Amino acid sequence: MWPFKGGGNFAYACTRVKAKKRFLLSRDTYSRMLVMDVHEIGRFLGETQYREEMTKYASRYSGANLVEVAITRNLARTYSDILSFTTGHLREMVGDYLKRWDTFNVKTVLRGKTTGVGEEDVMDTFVPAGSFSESYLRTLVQLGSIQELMDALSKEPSLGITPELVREVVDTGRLAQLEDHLDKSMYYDLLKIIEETNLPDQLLRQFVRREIDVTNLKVLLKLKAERIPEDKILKYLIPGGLEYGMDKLKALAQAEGLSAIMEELEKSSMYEVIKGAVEKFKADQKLSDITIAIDKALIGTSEKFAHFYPLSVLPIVNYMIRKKVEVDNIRIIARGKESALSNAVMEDLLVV
Amino acid sequence: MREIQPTRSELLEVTRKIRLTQNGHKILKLKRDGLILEFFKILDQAKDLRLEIAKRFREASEKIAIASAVDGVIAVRSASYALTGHPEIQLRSRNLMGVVVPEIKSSKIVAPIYERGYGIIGTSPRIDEATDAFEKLVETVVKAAELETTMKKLLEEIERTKRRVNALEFRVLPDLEEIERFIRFRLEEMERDNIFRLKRIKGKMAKAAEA
Repeated sequence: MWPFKGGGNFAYACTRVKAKKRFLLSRDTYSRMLVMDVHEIGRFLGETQYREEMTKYASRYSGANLVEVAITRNLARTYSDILSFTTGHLREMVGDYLKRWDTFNVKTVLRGKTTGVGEEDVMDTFVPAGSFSESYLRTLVQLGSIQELMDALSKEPSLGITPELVREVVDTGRLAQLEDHLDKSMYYDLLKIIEETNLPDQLLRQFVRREIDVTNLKVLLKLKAERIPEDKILKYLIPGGLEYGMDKLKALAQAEGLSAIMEELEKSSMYEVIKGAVEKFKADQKLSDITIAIDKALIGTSEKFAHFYPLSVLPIVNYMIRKKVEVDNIRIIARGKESALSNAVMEDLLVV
Repeated sequence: MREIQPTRSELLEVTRKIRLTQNGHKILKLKRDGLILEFFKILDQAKDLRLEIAKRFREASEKIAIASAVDGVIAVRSASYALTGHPEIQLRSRNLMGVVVPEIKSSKIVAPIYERGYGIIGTSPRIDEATDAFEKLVETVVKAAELETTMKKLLEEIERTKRRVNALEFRVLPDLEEIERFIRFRLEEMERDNIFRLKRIKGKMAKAAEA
């Protein structure tokens, strides 16, 4: 008996996603884009699946700004599209996974408000793929003051914003605590929502827990490199990881320097993928490469899961991740070209 | 020259002035040479610091470009505005060969990651690297500000001392010497007048005695 039957249109959705996957840009395409200038990149994107957004925003933006806005909006459209063709429990799971974009959008509107970015510019940066609609996000952007915005956000139960956080942001204008709270509560909520009663949920939960591992590792690496004391590190760690529980993370936070984390990474299941980056880190002590490698390992995990369970939620999650990576890669190339970064630097930043 | 009284006391006064001016001239020349030596010492440090600023600026520009590319412009802009505190600059002064030069001390330019004002969990290491690079750049700029202001003050003092040395050497001293020469000449002439007058009186008195 097929275990996912009745929980949603897994077969149909996975086939649609498989077809969509074919349109993702290949490694060769990135190599070609690296030798183009920003305008050529824009023109090239106008002939791909980004055509609609490139045409729509071409009258308002140009150069790297046009590319960034168009690819971001395309990402939102892609996610909405996926949500629209999934049904039943599958739709719920995809919707839950996409709630991270609520966090992204809330952070964007807060950042835009505190830094005085224009309303339209903030609107164009949104990825309205979560539970907050575009019109709701527009009303948030149009609120006059940070106090009004925080009051409106604190009424959203899914964000769990406490009065203390509202006061912190309104009084000091500092977003750090709120941003960390949003990032943490996104994972807490996701783990709370995804039950372990059936196989699709179990698979998604396992993947989310893997994601928490990756997030925790990146935070640990960052804070340990800055020699931040253990008590301060602990409040940034998210419980619920798959391979790295809180006890293990606590021990790593207590350890002197980064060598303990490196030793732990050498024992981890992702070591084969990040081996080169770990060796490089030991030589140059730069975090960029190792964090990119960890991200690549997570994509690899989602790819593996998608192959193991081809008719589950995982191929869809894998596609959503790969689409996001593609958008990030295009932005890296376009912005990199605009800032005259060397091709070698851009190549190192690309996740392919 | 016309107002000068060709008296012995004036001659003594001018001679004293000449001696004083010569001493002053010698001391000022020593000061000028000392300041020039000090200036060249600082110039080497300032040159190194300028090169360091250029290097750090290049690094910081590249890091911010990378951060904008990876995380998007809004995220970077927001992170840059997140730090609400400003580093305090303490300005003191110290004496360098009679020149008052500034001593700039800055407090807390390099802030720990959790005091930068942006979220730790969701911010990429690229933004942290860009922040680090700019903090280091500002630190170097503060150091350079102290050194370059010192250099500017030293240059002004060297210029002022040089003008004083030249004024003493080519204007004040020659003028005083000219006055001294004039007074001596006038005094000698007055002396000769006196002798001549006395001789005339003596001659007249001798003629009167003979008669």
